[in-house]
Amino acid sequence: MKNILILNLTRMGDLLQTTPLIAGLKKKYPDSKITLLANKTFAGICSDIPFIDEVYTFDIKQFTPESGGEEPSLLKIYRYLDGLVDRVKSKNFDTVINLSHSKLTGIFSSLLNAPDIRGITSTDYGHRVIRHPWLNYFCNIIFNRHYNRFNLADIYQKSGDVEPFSKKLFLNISEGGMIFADEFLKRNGFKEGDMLVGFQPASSRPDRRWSSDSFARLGLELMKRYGAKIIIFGVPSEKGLGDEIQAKMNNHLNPPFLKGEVKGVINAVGKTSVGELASLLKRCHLLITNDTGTMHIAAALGTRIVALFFAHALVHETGPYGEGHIILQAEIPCSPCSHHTNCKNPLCKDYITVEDVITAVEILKSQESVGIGEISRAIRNRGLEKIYHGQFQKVKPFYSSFDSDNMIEFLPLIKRPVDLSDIVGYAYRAMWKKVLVSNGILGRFQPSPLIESGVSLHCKEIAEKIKNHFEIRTDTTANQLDDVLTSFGKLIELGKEGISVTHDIIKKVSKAKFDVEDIKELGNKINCIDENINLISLTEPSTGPIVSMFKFSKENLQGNNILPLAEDTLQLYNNLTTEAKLMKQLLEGIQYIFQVS
Amino acid sequence: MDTKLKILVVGPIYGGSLPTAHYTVSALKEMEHEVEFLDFSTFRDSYFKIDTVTKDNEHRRSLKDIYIGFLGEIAMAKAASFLPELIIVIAQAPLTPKVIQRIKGGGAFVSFWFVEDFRTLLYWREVAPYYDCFFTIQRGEFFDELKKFGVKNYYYLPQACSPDVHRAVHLTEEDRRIYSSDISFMGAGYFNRRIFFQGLIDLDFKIWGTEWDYLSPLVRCIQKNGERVSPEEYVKIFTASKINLNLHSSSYHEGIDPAGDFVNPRTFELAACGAFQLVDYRTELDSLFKIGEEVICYRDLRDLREKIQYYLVHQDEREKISARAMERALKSHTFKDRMGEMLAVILEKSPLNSPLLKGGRREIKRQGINNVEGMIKNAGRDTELKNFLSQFRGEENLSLKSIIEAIENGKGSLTRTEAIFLMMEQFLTEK
Repeated sequence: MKNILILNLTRMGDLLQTTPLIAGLKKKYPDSKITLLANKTFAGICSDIPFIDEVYTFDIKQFTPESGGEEPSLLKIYRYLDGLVDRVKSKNFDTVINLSHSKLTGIFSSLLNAPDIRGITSTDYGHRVIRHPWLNYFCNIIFNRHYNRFNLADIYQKSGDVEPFSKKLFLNISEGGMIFADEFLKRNGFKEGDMLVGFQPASSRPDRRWSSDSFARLGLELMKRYGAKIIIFGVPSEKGLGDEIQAKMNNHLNPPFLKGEVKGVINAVGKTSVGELASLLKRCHLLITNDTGTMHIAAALGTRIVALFFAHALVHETGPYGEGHIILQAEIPCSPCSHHTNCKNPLCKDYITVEDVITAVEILKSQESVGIGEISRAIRNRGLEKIYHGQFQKVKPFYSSFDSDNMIEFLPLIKRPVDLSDIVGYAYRAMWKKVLVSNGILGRFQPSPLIESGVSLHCKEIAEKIKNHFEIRTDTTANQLDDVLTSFGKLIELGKEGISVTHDIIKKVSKAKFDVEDIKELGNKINCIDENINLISLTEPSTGPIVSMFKFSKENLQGNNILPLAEDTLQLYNNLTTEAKLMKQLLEGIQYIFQVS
Repeated sequence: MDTKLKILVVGPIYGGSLPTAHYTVSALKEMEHEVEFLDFSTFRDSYFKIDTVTKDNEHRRSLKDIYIGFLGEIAMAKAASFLPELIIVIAQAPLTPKVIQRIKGGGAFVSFWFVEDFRTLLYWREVAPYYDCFFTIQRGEFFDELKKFGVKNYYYLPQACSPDVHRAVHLTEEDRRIYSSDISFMGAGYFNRRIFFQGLIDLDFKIWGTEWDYLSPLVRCIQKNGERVSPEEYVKIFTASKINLNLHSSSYHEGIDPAGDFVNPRTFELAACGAFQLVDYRTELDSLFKIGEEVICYRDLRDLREKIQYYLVHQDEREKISARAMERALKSHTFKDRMGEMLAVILEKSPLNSPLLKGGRREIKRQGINNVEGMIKNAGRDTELKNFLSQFRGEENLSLKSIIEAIENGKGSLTRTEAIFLMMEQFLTEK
């Protein structure tokens, strides 16, 4: 029996995005025991996630002093962490999958002494290492977000060597929950046949919230157009926001002198448990939401979503996992915000207008009988693009769909001018799918003629996808692609130099006696090559993802014995060269197809 | 302007607004007003000395509050002896609302020049309502905010150059050897600059100024070991560089702020020196310079690299553009121009007369924390933990920071106790 621990100390949404991995592991190893270690604040939902056998919680909040209170006792925290390590370690897990980015979980996972640890962990000396190619990708893509075209849920599945199959997130709803939803809605005047639209106006951070004013105006418009009933969701601490939206809607529809209340607005903020929230979401025809945990619950339940993405949120990373949702991503050059920064001027949330959302709702409503891919095609074929373009002025609208590998992708709902990051992003998606293969701690790729010949096929697929969803501007794009291709060419040359020097090192150290000074000199050459590799990624950021993976992998090299270190280094140069070669071939192919057409 | 005034200029203890204070004083003197400068930067060392007195953040904060209160007393004493008709307070000057009110009680007209980004430094909310006149380098949304906070008299007054300092200089051969480069940047290593400039490291690029990261690839570009550069020196840099980069600072963009509004002092200084600059676009820029004729803007890294390549080989264009920029700066954007504008606004607003009062005190707060002996005693049977903690004997209150420093300075593989403390550090950071 396989004994697996999944470590995910992030928020509720991330937990839900872990569910396809959990389901996939259970499918692959039906007899396995799966344990989840989650943050206590967000652990409420774990009892409704199927296939989990046991849950441990990590209680970060218990040591937060009340305002003005004493600082926490270091000894008390120490005892808590020490005890938790002991309890989890005693379960003797054979696989630990760490899906958190933090150094904390890295140290924690290393203290468990499991034979197979994936994700961030720590060496005996406290150095961070990342194990498993997809989790290496997961950690490095933070620095190259513009070129990431993988959703978190798919990356998580790949980290467990699970082939995506579900096309959905998993969450159970109890019968009690459904009874609660029926009674709750009935009590609030909801009738069968009413269109019920959920609003999730809050989010973990204030700069990731669409304004209360916009939500109120949207609510009124939905009531006017469709006779919709609006239900506002949120946790108790967000009550003020729910009240504010409701009051704004009231004031608008019923001037104060009438002293009335808008009929059809249900303010459920702070009135539901997570399970009850889920059962109400299941009853909604549609959810309008910021990038939140509520959005992922709705996605798990198959409720249609119009998601509003701005600030740090990026559609490709955390867009709702399921077919046929619409996501509006604010179009501002600084998007997405860097992690760990607080924008002092979050203009982007005002870039999404009430009219944009109404258009998205219209599209979703007309989609009930047809697939959204069809809608997107119909918009293009019927020449409706101009109309929609007029409406989506500062917004990129996307719809969610699954590719032939059952991995989600977010495609433009209407054609817009292609930019370099789109072309490079799609090429990267194809390339990483081929090379991020788990075959050992370092191994990502074994060059084979089979894969190289597969490239031309991908070029056609990518070029076709780009032609279908974007306007091609051959002049600027071609010039920019030339620069990118030159940089990938330089990377290939440097990779080959790296291969040649590490070969020399291996040859020399394989002999019984070798001159240390010789090796030092070769080591200097390697440093020089690495510096130049880094320089390329800085001056041509589109090469960043490959270089970043290379650097992270190099940091993962452990030990003091020169020969195995040199052999591992050789493999990393091989990977770098092949990845750059594949990208160059893909991009040349795409460029050629564009030029010919 | 014919009216000659007695003006007291109050400067900051430290920071980016300090040069503005100096240039303001020079300009007013040149305009023949009777000016005194209360230069709080002379109190800088003592202010920072407080950090060496104690590691306790609460104590540091209290001591600094007391010190700021003391500087407020100095401001009042200065005003009482000099009896100015007008006090111009420059951004970041250490005057609390209480002190401002008491100074105003003495009869002087007190104005403030907030040469900062209102979104980043929020202290304006506390002080702005107390000033008679509030001058800003931003308008639009900032004016709406000021209105919300009950501020009545606010005016847009952009930054400027000081032609005495900012001028083209003659370079010796030695100067050229030291300061010449294809491109240069002079300024502090803010978050966005640290990231954005990495995209230029394959070029002949020199970076001057402080607060740069030595672990970054930019290390090869950093000049003078990242030490402070004097104005005399930086005008040489401006003159010697073929292209001077100007990138407005941001602590939350990876490069350019797409909605940046105000124009920084560097834009005016470079222009006044007749130096060629490439500057990131700002919404206020085209009200101050003709974009495309007097200054050239870039919108992202790719665009900047293309413009660098172009202007490096088009010296004649560089010279024409920078000559036009210099003409514009000297004609319309000097500190004398700005002070003229400021005084015109103030004279329209107020009859100017004086004397002042004094006062102001603060309290110290104390708080207990983890006691080393107590922790050792309570470690119970955990001898590894006890042994670990005993190295801190002698320190009264143990902080996690000291523990982490000790672990980082240790050698060999980590013990379980050390690993747990490292985890705790992360734990408390994430909380």
